[in-house]
Formats: sequence, C-alpha cells, structure tokens
Amino acid sequence: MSVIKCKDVCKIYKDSKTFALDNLSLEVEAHTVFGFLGPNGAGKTTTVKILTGLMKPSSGEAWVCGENVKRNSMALRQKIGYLGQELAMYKWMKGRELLLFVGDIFGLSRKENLKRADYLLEMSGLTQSANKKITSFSGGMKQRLGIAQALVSKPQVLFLDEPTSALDPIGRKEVLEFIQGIKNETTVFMSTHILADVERVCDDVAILNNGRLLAMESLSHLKNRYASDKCEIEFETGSSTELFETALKNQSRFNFTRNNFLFSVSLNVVEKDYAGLLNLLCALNLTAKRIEITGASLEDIFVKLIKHD
Amino acid sequence: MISYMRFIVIFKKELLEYSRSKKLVAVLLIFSFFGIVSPLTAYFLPDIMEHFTKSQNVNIDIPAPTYDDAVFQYIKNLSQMCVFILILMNMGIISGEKEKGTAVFLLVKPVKRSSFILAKFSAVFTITVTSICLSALFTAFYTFLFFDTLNIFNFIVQNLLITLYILCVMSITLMFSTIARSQILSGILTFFMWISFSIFAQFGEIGRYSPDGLISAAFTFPTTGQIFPESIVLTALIILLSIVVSLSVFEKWEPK
Repeated sequence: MSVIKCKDVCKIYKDSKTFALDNLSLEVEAHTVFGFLGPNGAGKTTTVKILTGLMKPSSGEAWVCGENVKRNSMALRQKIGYLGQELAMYKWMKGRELLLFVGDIFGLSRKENLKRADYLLEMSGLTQSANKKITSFSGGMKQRLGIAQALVSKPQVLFLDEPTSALDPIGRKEVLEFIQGIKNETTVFMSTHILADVERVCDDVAILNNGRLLAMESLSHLKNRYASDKCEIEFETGSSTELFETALKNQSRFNFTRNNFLFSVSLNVVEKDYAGLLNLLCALNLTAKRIEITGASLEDIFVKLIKHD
Repeated sequence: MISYMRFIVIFKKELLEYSRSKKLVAVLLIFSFFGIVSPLTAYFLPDIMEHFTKSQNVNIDIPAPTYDDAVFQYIKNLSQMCVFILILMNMGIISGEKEKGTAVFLLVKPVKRSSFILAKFSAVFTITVTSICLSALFTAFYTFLFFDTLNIFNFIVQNLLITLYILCVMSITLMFSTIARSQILSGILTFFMWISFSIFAQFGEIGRYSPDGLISAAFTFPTTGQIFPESIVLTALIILLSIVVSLSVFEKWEPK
C-alpha cells in the first residue's frame, strides 16, 4: 500500500525561471525506508517541503497518508513527522522538555506524554542526557533527539531531510542505526546525497537530478538494471599494466577504468566476460597480483544516471 | 477547543523562552529602573542644575519640582528609551524563527499559523503590559514618597494612553518581523515607522491622527482633561491592522 503518492508535481520558484521540480511522480510503500537521492540542488528539500505541506506545488497533486498535501490540513500534519536539514529546534529547552512540548502540541494527555517521552529518550539513547540543555548535546545526539521529537505522535510517515549530512562518522553511525531501528514503527522518507547511507538503510531508492526523477525502484533491482558487476585486476609492475591496457583497448567489448596498477572492468555478461579477461591474461602471459569480481555499487548507478541526464 | 489548547501551549513556550533567554529579567529591570529614576530625576534635577551652575558662577532660578514633573519624566522615558529597547528585543521574534528554521519546526506539526502569530502578539503584549505596570508602580511609589501627592485617576489615564501607544509600536514591530526576511530589516522598517509617527505628530491638528498624539495627550491630560479620541481610534486601528497583516502574510509564507 502506498503511503506517499506524487503525480506530475512541478515547482517553479517566483525568483527563478527553471523548474525546481519537473513532473515528479513517485510512490512510496508503507513500512519501508525510502532513500531520496540526488546531488545538491536536485530538488530533494523542495519535494520534502511540498510533501509535508510547508510549500505548495506549482502544479500536480500529491497525497501523504491519503491527505492531499496542497490543503496542508491538520489531518496531514497529525500523520507525519519531520526533521529538516537545519536541525532547527528550540535549543534552549532540555531534551525531555522538548519531547513533552511536542507531545502537548499533539494533544497527548499528561500521562501518555510522559510515557512517550521516556520511551523515545530510551530508544534514542538519550535517557542520561534527558535533563540537559540541547545546546550541550553533540551533533549525533541532537539529530537523534530531532528524530525522536518527530516520532512523538507515532507518525505514519517520517520525513528526514539530509539527516546525516552534518555529522561526523560516529554521529552518522548512531543516527543510521536509529533509523534502522524505527523501520517497524513508521515509513521513513529520507532525502540525502550520501550514497553509503542509502545503501546501508534504504529498501527503495529514487534518484533525482535537476528536479527530474531518473530512477525509482528497490535498491537490488536498481543495481541489476543499471549497473553491471566489475572485475578488478591489479598488477605489480608498470610494464604489465601498460601491456594489459593496450590489449584491453583493442578489445572494444570491455569498458574499463584504470587507477595506477588497478583496472576496473565492467562485466556485462559475468561468466563470458570474466573468462575473456582470464584468456587475455593467459595470452599475454601476465601475472596479476589480484583478480576479484565486485558487485555494482550505488555510486556507479548514481554517477551513470547523473552523467546521462 | 483543540486550537485554543495549542495556542496556550505556544503562548507558554513564548513566555518560557523570554524567561530562559533572560529577556524577561532584562525588560522588567529596565522598566523598573526608569520607573524609579523618573521621579528621582524630577526631584533632584534642580539640585543637580544648581550644583553645575554654581561652579560656573551662573545664577538660574529653577522652580521647585512638582508631581507633574515626575510623571512627565516617566512618560518621556517610557515612550522613548523603553520603546527603543522593546523594539530591539522583539524585532526578531518572528523573523528570527523564520531565519533559524524553528518556525518550520512548529508549522509542520498540527499548529495553525494564526495560533503561532497570535501567541507571539499575546506574549509580547503580556510582557509589555506587565513591564509598564511594574514601572508605573515604582513611579507612583516614589512620586508619592518625594512629592506627597499623586492623582491616581490622572496617573491611570496617562498610563492607559502610554500603554496603548507602546502596544501600537510593538504591533508594528511584530508585523515587520513577520514581513521581513531578516531581523535587521524588520528592525530598520520598525524604526523608520516609529520615527515617521513622531514627525507626523508635529503637523499641528493633523498630528493628532498619529499614535504620538497619545503621548501628547498623556502629557497634557492633567491640565486639559483631553484624551484625543482620534489618536486612540487610529492607534487601535493600527494595532488591529498590524495583526491582520501579520496573519495574512504568515499564512502565505513558504520556507525556503
């Protein structure tokens, strides 16, 4: 069942002549972590703001949890949680105080509010720091609190706009683990330009560039469709490397990149191409230091799609 | 009912934020200071002047200070220094939240935009009125202490006039804070408007149609007994208009 549905959504800002979003259509299934991927300026934040009712589309329609986002209704806002990329919160508050404040806004009873705040503090690993001012929190702690406050109302969809972009590796790890942990509670719509994060936590992926949707499907399907496996061949000497490169250039069927003594060759038909490479090495009487077949990465797909756009 | 509850939650948050940021303490102290200093200045001004003129061998006859001088000084301080400080404190109250992104933090939750704006106006009005009351109490106490007299009726009317004037300037501050993209721009626009009121008030009879007519009325009320109803109506309309414009502009605001 789709919890988010966009149909031909366009957005043109008043002070701009180009489309920030150009006929965006997408659907997001319930209880998945959806990675919304794109380079900076692709239109990710604009999409999130339209889906959360903060911004109106110039044309097209979008529904979240069955609510038309154009109306920016209270019903829509009751069903969603949101954390923006600026990590804007009332940082003069204490951790628990912020969660209780958000609970009050959602009209939770005092008892229910306290219970929910305690649960979310524990879930986000912030129980010890609950009564400290948010200003004293680390980046990772602030981000986890930000996600926790967005979960106070038990939203059906949680929108996270670049949740890890401002964090150090430890903070990133903490936040990604937290996102993985809430997968059963809600649908997560996560916009990001960090490909490794998407590979780690997302089930489905959409790639956006210049406001246009380039691809949208499950991560595994995307890899199968858009990128082939690769064979990495590493040599120890420069002479072997040069010889192998000349031979590869003569074989038009191989797409490859070279980085010093390391070749990365695309395998369109794995068995056939791999055998062809081994035969080539034998024919040239070369000994490789390492030969390894590696799977396609999201980065390959991303670069390929963005380049072709 | 639910909307009202949410309004109360945000209103309480505003007061708490004022308190935590020490703005509340600062504004109460400043108003108290001017409340105390105004009658003291009026009372000791002849002595101070005499001290300076004596040292320069100049002899000026300064009439003995009266209760009116103390209240005059109080109105002057409140309508100038205190208003200036209040503008500085409140010029970023909405534009600041837009800039920092905390407005979005609230607006993506089930909070009506009108509740957000009205909670801001209510909090600023509450703090302003409380500060004026405190200042008035100090002035009344010290005026009575030094001058042995205080016309309570006149003093209340004068305070009501000055309160309406300050609330009008605060409404304009909040309106520009809603319209402007930055705190500085909202401050500049507010100061420009505030000065315009003073300039407009200089045009004789027409000047009564400026909110500054309220200050003139507060000064002259003990002798003339007039309150310039045209100024009161116009000021009330400006307050109402500022609220309506703020609500309308904020309803259409889209975060970048």
